[in-house]
Amino acid sequence: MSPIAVPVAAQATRVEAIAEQQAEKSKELGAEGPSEAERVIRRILKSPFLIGGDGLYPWFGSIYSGTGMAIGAGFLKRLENAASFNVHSGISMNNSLVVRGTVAAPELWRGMLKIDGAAQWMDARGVSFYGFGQHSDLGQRERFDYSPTELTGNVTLKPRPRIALAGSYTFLDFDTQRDRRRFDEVQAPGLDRELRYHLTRGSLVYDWRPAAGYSTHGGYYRATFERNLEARGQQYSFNAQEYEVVQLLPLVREQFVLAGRALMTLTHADQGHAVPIALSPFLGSGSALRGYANRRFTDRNRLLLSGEYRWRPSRYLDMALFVDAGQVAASRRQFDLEAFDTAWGIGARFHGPTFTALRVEIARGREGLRLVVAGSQPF
Amino acid sequence: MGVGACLRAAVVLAAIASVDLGAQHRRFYPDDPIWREPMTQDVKSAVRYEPDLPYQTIENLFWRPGDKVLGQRAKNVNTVDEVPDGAFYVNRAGRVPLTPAMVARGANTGNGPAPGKWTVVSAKSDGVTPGFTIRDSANELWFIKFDPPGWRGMATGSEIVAAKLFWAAGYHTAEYHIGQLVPSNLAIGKDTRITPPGEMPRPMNQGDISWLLSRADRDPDGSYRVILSKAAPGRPVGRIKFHGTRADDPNDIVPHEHRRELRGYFVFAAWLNHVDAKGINSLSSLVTENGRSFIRHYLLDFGSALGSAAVGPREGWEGYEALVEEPGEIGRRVLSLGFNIPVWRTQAYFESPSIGRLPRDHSKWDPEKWWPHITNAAFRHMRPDDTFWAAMKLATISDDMIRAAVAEGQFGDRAAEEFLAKAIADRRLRILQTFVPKVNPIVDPALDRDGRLTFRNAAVDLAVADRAPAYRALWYTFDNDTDKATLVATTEETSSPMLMPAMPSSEYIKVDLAAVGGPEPWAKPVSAYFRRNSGAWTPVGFERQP
Repeated sequence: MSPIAVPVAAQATRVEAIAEQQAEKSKELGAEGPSEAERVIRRILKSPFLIGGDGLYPWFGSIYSGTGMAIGAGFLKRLENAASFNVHSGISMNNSLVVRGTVAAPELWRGMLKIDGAAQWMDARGVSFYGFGQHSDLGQRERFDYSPTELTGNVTLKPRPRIALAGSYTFLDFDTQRDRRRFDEVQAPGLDRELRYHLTRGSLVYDWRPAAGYSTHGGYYRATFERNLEARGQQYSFNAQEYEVVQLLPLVREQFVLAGRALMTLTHADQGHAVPIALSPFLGSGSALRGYANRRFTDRNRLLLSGEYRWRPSRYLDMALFVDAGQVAASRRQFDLEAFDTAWGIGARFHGPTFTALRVEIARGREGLRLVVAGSQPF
Repeated sequence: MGVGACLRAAVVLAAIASVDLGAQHRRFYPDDPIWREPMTQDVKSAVRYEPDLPYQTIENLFWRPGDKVLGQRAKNVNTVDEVPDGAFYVNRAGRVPLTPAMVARGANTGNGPAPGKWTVVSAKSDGVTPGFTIRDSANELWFIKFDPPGWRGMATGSEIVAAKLFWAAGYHTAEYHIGQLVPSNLAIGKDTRITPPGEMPRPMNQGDISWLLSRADRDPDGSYRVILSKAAPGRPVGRIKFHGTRADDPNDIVPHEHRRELRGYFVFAAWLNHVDAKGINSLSSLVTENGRSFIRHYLLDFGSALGSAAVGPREGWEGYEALVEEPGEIGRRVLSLGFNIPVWRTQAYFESPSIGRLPRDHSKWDPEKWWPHITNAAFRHMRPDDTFWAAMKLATISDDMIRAAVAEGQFGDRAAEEFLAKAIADRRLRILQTFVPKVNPIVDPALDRDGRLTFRNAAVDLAVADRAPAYRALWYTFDNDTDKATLVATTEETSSPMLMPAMPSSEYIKVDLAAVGGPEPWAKPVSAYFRRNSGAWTPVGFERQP
């Protein structure tokens, strides 16, 4: 040991000098263990909210499009073979409520087959409707409350790692209420009515992104077909199709990512039937035509194109310049290249390797600036 | 205060100062320099403490634990500026005559697990690649790890190579072997439990074994290439801390951030791109030898080294950036719209399933800018004299030793092995070029009976710097009892040796040696101390200040 380590000493040798220091320390030994700060951090990091473990957890999220941020509490219980039971309830900034429970059965065939179910009751307040079409008036906003009760069963078969075939059945019972009637039944079908649906859905998905929650390369291609049968014989039965293509093109070893998305939703009401407003395709949200108010454009069909230039200042932060273009139309034939409403903006996304924790964006459309705060990728 | 009062205060202060200055500061003891760190106390009550990895990460990223005063000299060096053998380190490279065969053997004491069934006692079910803990037929405990699918040899081979070279550098490492696992040779212990991801703990079954193995690289004959590491001797009591001392270890009296071998660990980790050089990848074990219990500290888990990131090939950023980048750098990249492109995104890589991914060319690699995933207090306290020490160790690890270590990886890909050996040698050269000339590189001063002072310039000898035009020596008599040096003469020569001028009789001589006209750091003298023994001069002290 150097003289720095061992100051003045009366011992005859270096070893003796060090031995004396060690003997001194032996008189006041302690125990190795976590500091108080480490104990606190451990407790925080092991909370179910952060690690997805069993037990009570705080819940943050969105109850329904346009109802604002919501908080609540949940309870998660994990069972063998990836089975789980999860329930949470929450209340949003505009007093909307939700209680949602999911049950996942044990995975079968090494994860190739997955069966799960969900039940949900919701009271979404102040859902917006501006009238049909691309040229609806921002000042003509109608607000209605949407209160669905849902029971859903899902079966997902993944014969290959990237391919998923999903089928589901949902019993959906809802009513919509509004205080003031601005639009009539023709202008706003299904409002003020109690409707009940048997909803069957089939999807074919090819997803070669590394993770759904965050990816820098790969693609996602989906086709979904729905049959929405009004159970009480009211004139609101319809079919729907939705097609989505997401492509991520990395450049310079993923320093940059060019990301594109095309989404088309088509509905076809049965002869003499209408698609209710609450279930109609819409544009205007944090993920579908940013820069516009929530549900700003509603109609029987929608088309959305998004492009993003993403760059990666950090492994936990992506930035993006984006352009969205979307339109709604009464029929597919009315889609018109000249009719797109566009928005552009800049965003920051804080993420982990497989998930997006926070997305903050400012988008500008023809009706002004909009701030987007979300907990997921736009696509 | 009046003039008289001031004078009285000054006299009192002077008196106090004179007492302090007159205190006996003996610099050298008769047994200096010591080469073994004394461990005089029995460790009786050490309990196991497993630090929390996320906490360690947060602590080192944001709180910077340890001594707040940076720039201090390492406090565990002996009087000749070297690290004595001890709980963390044993002098091998540069101290004992290593051979390639010795490096290839490393810490191994046998040939691997005893023949017979391997009984699984626990399994690692989290993470991407599986792992088992087994007992062999001789009841020895072994840890088994695999290569990720498609990367046969990468994680297992890289770990072996790194372990051998860390052993050569002087660190305590475990015993490692490459082996072949035949699933039918595995038996599940009767009390063995598993906690699959997202599930509750439960008894392990054969399905679990199959599921775990499905995530490992499988050979065509159904067996699996594995790396087996033998449980270190003793009882585990935790992991290496890189700051402070263990509260339960009476022999541990030097804060770890002031231990040179832990500061110098940065250099070796940079050399081998051991980006996962964190406390969790180490082991502190309570060992009993010769009737005395003490704690020995091992480096373990080198699967994320060289071209391997354990679960796949090394990602480009690893070794170039910390787990969380510097805020200023992030800001610059935000504002540049991404066009401030880091070098690791554009440089060429050598990639092979057997060794993973490494930069193809290391000639411009800057070891000073190397980053582990998470830094630590010892790395933050590292000074140029610490990096010089480590670089000098590296200088004695030859290309043949590197090739011998790489051969132990059994990568089965000759071109990749040759590239890997060259990459390791090239990185070593860059370390020597960077760290050796950064301080006054004079080494091995000796003073013979005839008064001839010889020394070497390590940077010149290693061909990483040009010769200095001249050297200047300041000759002192040295009083060991008062730690006071008295300048007698100054001499200058163009090279070693230098002749000692006429000196008054003294038991100790101090010589300050500096280069004249060389690089700026070389002008700062090193101090060599010699003690007269029966007419001969024995080197007893050496100091190199950056």
